[in-house]
Amino acid sequence: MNNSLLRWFLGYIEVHIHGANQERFLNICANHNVKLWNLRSDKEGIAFNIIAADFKRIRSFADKSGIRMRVTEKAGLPFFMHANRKRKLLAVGVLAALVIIYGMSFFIWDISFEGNVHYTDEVLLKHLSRNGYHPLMLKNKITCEDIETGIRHEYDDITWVSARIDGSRLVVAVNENEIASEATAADNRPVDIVSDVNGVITDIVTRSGTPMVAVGDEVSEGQVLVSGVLEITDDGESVVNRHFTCSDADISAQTMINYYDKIPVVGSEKAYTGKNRQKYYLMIGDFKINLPGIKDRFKISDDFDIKKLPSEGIKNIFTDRYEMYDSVDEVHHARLGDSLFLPLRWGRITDREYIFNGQMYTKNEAKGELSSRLEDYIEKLIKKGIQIIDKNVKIDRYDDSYIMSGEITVIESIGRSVPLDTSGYAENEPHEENVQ
Amino acid sequence: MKSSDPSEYNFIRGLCAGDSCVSINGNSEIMIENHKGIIEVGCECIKFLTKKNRVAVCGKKLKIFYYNAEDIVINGCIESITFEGRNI
Repeated sequence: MNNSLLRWFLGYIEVHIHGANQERFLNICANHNVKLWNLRSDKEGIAFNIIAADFKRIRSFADKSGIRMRVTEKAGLPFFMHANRKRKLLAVGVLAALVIIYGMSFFIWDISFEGNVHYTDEVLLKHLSRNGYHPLMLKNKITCEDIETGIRHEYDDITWVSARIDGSRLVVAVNENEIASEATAADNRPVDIVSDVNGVITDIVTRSGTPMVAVGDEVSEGQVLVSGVLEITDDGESVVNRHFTCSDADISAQTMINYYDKIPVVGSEKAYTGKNRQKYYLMIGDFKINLPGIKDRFKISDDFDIKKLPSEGIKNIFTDRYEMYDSVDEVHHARLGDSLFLPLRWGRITDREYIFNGQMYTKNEAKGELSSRLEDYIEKLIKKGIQIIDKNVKIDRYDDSYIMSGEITVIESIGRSVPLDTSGYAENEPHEENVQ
Repeated sequence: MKSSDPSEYNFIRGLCAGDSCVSINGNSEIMIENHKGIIEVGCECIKFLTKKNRVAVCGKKLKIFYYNAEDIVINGCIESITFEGRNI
């Protein structure tokens, strides 16, 4: 426990000493393990703090060293209780508060999620609610393993779940699979790998199956890249047996991606008018109480150029109407300490009005905007593991829009699994069998 | 426990011989371990005894933050620390 808190609980007093041999008195106290703190000197003597229980012990030391003592201040819980000993209701209130807090610590007051991007808190909360987990439930009725198993079964994209109780809060941490997992075969049924694009093979590593293409081959969409048929031949190159397998390979190919993007000649950039309003609310559990907000602030922001607004936009600024606005919600959660969350929240919603700026793009501005969007697109491709070889795009202006179009040459992973129809082989080959 | 560092060896030998350990944080706090008692307490000077020396801590608004038989912690604006005694 913190030293100052402990002293407050034990009660302490401030003592002022004066007379001869003050230093001797201090040394006697130290030698008898009496702890003193906050010693300071003044014109008359020395003042210090001491635990109340030690005060009786130092009286004899004062007599021995010939000094006079005076208690100047008393502080701490024992003195507070003594001063308020007749206020019985106060004691009852404090006790009741402690009992209520202790009782409340048996419940879960809040459920929070970490690591979720695709699945929002509301979606996961609904799932938990369907399974009987909700705020204000008893902690001992929560089985973290059940929550973890339930979420993993319900959502295939979630690869890892950890549920834990942190004070009065249930924390569910999830890890979503960022790259969409390829559909894996439910069993080991024989499959071919076929091309899903047109391109030129740059690399192929076959783990199972018969490769039908080599590096440098041009392939078209739908062409079989790796066959699930394994043919056993004799010395005369005639097929004596066939096995069927689930093909598995890593195949890369150089392909072309057609790129197309357009922006209107008249821009639709958001322009904040600077007009905003605030609303306050209080939430007790799921019950929301809207509090009266402060008046709307009719102030045009400094960076806002009114000349760029269309005429109907100018009219809206000076009215009470908020046709288009962004809302920013700031939520505060009441809690005791770091982990005891109470079912009380309050927040402020700020609506910021905006209108669409009707400014015309020049050709250079349009080029800059489209190039920026192209860079974003390429960055997304690189994040997916696609290698960019070349890009060839051009910008044209049509009646009401600028259009960027062209082709991007990339090296990407290709191929998709297609179930293999073995019935045709069965009629001709009596010796076929499946390899698991 | 063996130590290859000569300064560490001297430090441990000093502690065994009853030397005091003086630690200073900036010019606002000084901690003395293994002292032998207080000689004088004032706003501008606090003197105390160690096994071999008398130590005077001078400055402004000095006060003893904590005091027991072994340790003293002094707070305030420390201007000088003087070791007085026959070994100096």
